[in-house]
Amino acid sequence: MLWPIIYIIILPAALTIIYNLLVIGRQRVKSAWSQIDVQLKRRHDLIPNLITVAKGYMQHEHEIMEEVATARQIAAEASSIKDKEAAENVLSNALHSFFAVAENYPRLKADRVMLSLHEELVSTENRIAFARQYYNEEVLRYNTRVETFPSSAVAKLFGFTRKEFFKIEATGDRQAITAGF
Amino acid sequence: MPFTHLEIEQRKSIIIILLFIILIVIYFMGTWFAAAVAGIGLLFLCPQYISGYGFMPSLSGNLWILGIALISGAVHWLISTANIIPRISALLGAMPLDDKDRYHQRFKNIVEEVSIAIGGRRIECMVIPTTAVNSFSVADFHGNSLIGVTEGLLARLSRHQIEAIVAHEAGHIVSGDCLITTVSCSLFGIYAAAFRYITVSIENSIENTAVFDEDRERDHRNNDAFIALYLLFIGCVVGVTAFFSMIINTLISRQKEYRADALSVKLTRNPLALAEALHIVSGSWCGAGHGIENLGSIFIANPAYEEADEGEGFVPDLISTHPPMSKRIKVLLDMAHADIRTLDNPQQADPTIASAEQLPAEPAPKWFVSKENTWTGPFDMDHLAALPGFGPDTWIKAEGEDRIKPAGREPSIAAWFNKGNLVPFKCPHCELALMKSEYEGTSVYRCSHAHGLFVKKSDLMKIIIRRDTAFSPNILKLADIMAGNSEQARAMAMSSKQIKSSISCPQCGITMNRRCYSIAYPVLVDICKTCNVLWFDQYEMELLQALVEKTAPNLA
Repeated sequence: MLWPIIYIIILPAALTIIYNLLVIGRQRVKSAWSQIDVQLKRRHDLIPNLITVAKGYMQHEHEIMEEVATARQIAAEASSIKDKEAAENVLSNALHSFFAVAENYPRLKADRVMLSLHEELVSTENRIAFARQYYNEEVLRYNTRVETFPSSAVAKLFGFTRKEFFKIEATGDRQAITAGF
Repeated sequence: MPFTHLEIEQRKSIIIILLFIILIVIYFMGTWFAAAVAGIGLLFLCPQYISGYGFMPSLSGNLWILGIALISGAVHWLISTANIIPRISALLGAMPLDDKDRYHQRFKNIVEEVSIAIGGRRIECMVIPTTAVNSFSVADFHGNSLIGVTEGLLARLSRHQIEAIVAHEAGHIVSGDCLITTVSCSLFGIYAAAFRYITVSIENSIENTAVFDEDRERDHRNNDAFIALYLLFIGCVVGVTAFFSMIINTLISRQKEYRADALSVKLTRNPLALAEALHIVSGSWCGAGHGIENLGSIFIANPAYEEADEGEGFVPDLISTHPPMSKRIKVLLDMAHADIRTLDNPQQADPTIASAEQLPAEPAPKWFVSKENTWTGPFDMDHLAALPGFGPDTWIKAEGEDRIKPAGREPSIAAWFNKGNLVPFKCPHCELALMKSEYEGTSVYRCSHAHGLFVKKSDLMKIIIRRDTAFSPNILKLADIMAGNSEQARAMAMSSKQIKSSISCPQCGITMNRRCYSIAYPVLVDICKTCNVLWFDQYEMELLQALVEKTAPNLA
């Protein structure tokens, strides 16, 4: 008498709940990722403006500006998480050295457009860092669910797989841009 | 996040049901009491109508009372919970952000950053125009939320510190504390606050009538009776409001502040910045606006000083909404592995927002202008702008060049036309057009020839509390002398009546008044009372700022 009840009612109910939790987790990871994408796009959109403004003051620093521009190009074209990770790290380093050089141009630092651009860039770096933090938290939660019993069994059954974390050497570039000015 | 969405919803609904029940109980008790009093009155006046229990309401009477309590409670609830956020922000005098102000722009950016950290929930932001350092958050049933800070906070805290404070308020919002405090404040506190406001205005009007009716005895006696009645009424209401605010305070746990601090650290990973921010807040938190003492629980630090806030144990825990600041700071410092001395040397000094003023000006290009077939000049850009009839089709030629072209073709001048820099105000001294300019991150109008500044009164407060500009040694010396002779200067300021100024207001053309900015800061300035604007001659603004910074280093 007891076994049929378990088979007919409790098991399917548990299965449904666990399956739904997994789907919700996957959706949240997805929406967290789209937030990172939005912020990276914002960063890529700001860089051309930065270069335009800097050109007026830093005529002799073509190399560093080209380096930033190409890094931005590569980062904008990257598609998979792994590629993006690598490209964004290169871009962060390029920006880092750009602001280190810009330090020598007090007129550039005092330019009004530059001041507001700088604020936008600092804000964007923070946004990327926060979006990444939120995404990684969601991934951690989802991955834990995929790997712990009993949800791991359901995950295997329906093909839920682990998601990748998104790593940028965040502390480094956040401070680089903030400290520059 | 420590709370899942489901848990927040459950907690929210339990507390909200509890609040509604308390409201009904209060109404029931109130109505019952009123019925009992009426019963006693009837017993004495006309005992023949009263039978049975006398003044105690019967069972059906109790049911009637319950019905009345339910209906009035529901009406109270509906009225109080509609449009909570606009009503509270209006009561606090909070203003929307100014797009052109750098400090406001930075604050908006920070709020957006933090809202990403909590998963992209939209949060509105506002600013209270006072010099105090404080912040608040409110939320409503529809998921809208608002974080507000004071101008003083924006001026005195660095980017990291503001981020920590905003994350603290965001912590209240995601954990659901914010909704509970907001609803309980709007159920009880908002009326107390509004009532206090009315009281003050009535008192003022009584004082005024008392002064003007001195020679009319009969009216005077009427006034006395009115005042006595009025005092009785006030006494009743104050008692009731005190009771209500005690209920709110016992409902609102002190623990919520610790919890929000912890969430802030979790989001920003920077406990030291929050500790520093709280240290600054604890030094100057009072007076975030008037009539808000009953809304204290939505602020990061209680705007009204209460002794219980710094105490611990059962009774302070029960009646206070905020835990002791020293303990909050200590917890944060422990997290950062730092001790109290580090707060005196802040970790990351913020770069100044508006450093543009401090650079020596580059020699600007100059132009000659064709006027009735003769070339006049050379003029720099500011002078060109001030010439009568100057427009994109005026013929110009650059200094040292022979090529003639319309002003609109010269890229640097065309850019100036496009920026919309032409303002309708003229310098009261030299009649040149004023230029829109930036001073301490906010926009002012400047005369490039007489070096005067034209400032709105609402913007002046921002300029005074911000400290970006460095002053020349002469100004600092003068400020020193004025601060040293403060008694004398004050006496002079008090004795001198305001005098008609020699200049007229750039906005309305009426002659301005020349008087001391205030008794504490006796710098002579020109004020137009109709438009609420001030004109500062050269150095007057710098002197006022230097004087404020010298005499009140902690104010700003």
